[in-house]
Amino acid sequence: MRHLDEGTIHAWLDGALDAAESARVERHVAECDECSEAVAEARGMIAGASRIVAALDVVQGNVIPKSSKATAPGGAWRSLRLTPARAAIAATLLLAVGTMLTVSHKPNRQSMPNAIAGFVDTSSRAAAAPAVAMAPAIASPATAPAVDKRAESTVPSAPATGFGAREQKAAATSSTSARANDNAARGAINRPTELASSTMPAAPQAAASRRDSTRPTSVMALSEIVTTLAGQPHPDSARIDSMAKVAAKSAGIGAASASASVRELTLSAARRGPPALADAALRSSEAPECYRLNSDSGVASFLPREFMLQQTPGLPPQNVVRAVTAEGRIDSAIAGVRWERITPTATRLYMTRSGADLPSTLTLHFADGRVAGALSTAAGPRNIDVSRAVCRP
Amino acid sequence: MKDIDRLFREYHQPLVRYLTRRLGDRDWAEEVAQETFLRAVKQETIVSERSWLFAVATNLVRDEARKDIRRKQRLELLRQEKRAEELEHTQPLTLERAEDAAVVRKALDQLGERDREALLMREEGLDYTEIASALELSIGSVGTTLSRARRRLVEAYESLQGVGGTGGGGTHAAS
Repeated sequence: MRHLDEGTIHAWLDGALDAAESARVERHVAECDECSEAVAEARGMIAGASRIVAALDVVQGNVIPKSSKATAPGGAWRSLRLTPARAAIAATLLLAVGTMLTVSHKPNRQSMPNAIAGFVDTSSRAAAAPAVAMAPAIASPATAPAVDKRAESTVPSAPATGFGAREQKAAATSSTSARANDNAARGAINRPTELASSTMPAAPQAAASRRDSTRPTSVMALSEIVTTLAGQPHPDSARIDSMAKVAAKSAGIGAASASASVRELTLSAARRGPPALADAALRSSEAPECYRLNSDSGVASFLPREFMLQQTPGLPPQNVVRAVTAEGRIDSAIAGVRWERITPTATRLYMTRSGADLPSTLTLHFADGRVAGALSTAAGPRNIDVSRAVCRP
Repeated sequence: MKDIDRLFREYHQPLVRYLTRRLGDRDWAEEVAQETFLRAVKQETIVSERSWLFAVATNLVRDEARKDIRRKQRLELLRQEKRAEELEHTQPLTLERAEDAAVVRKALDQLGERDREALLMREEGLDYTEIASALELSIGSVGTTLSRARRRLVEAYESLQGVGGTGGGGTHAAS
């Protein structure tokens, strides 16, 4: 008789084998010294591993004080889904807008020394305001000083304002920052080209720090930020596009690729609104493909009544099935269920672990613009009523 | 509609412990657990509750890890610095225990992701069927996965104790 392998021994000790298999192992262990030794060793491993893992709890429970939400390292990063790289991009983008505004107002200053100076002061202060508004949220120890420094370096073009970058920060209020967003938006629409070129001098340092393997992510990240800044369920795509181009250029990313991902993101943002952008990683590469089971809901127990087929953009891509709520909203992926196109006109949904005698495969057949479902059951295939469903992310 | 209160009562504690062991950060673990239960509320049908919850939580952790691997590394550095600072002010006995936990974390990090998850799930009492379902393994390979995970953990822990041990530890695994 063949010796027992380690996995079987562990499964046996864990009580995971069925009665017959368990009896077979037991018999073998009783007769075979080698395996009986292996069983003893496995017992030691199981107990040892258990004890080792339990030692982890000591730190959390007793020694290291439980850190509060506010002081947890990276707590803010996590909730904002920002990384230092993204923060740097955001800062660059905001400064770019600020620079543009400062530059575009300069002629006014020169021709109208005193009377208009107040207006220019306000607007250049406002130009710096988005950076101020974002700074507490996004600045990491590494990026914060860089932001300050560059903010200062853009300001000297308007020295008569009497405000250093730091004072501007202190003076900025929420109303000026709101206004700055307006200004920024107007500027971006009116002068995409000028905006783009005006950012170039401020960019190299930031671009260099970002030249890493995460560039495609950066494009996505900055697009996210742009769209989030726009903060509207139906963002003006031209405006977002041009703002993103600016940031892309300053980050040394090809304008075409940036533009493409921005378009895609803008579209998805228009469909679902800004909060869902955080979900971008789960976005489908295709239009939502949603179905409803019209037969008894219990019939295909591994599927909810409504579901969506989706290919995740990760590597390797996974064909997941996501639940769709009664309101037509796309929900989380269903664990252990995948789909594949078996022919151009048939798609199969299956459980990665086939559960006992329950039906676990549903095939969708497409013909004449209609869909028909076939469920595999112990008694053979069974037709079930499936239809296309409307779902919105 | 599931009884979310019951679900929470039954699975919150093991899930948070699993996630805390997995992530080494209680707050983070609580956040992921919260998100997991939120999704459970929205989910219409859950076939196997425990494996569903552990699978969703595991995927959330993986998603986040994929997205933010660099950020995590940086956080881990900060965390270790903080830990080292805190260790200076702790009692000798607890210091020893904390060091032990740090060694365990290191040892655990040496395991493959799936091995680690399987082991931690098993420690929370999930049976082989549940682990297979949550990790999308065949049920036959759970034993192999667990035996490999346990062996590697014990060996990694022992070798770390041998190399980096401060004399206070000894061979905990064998004792």
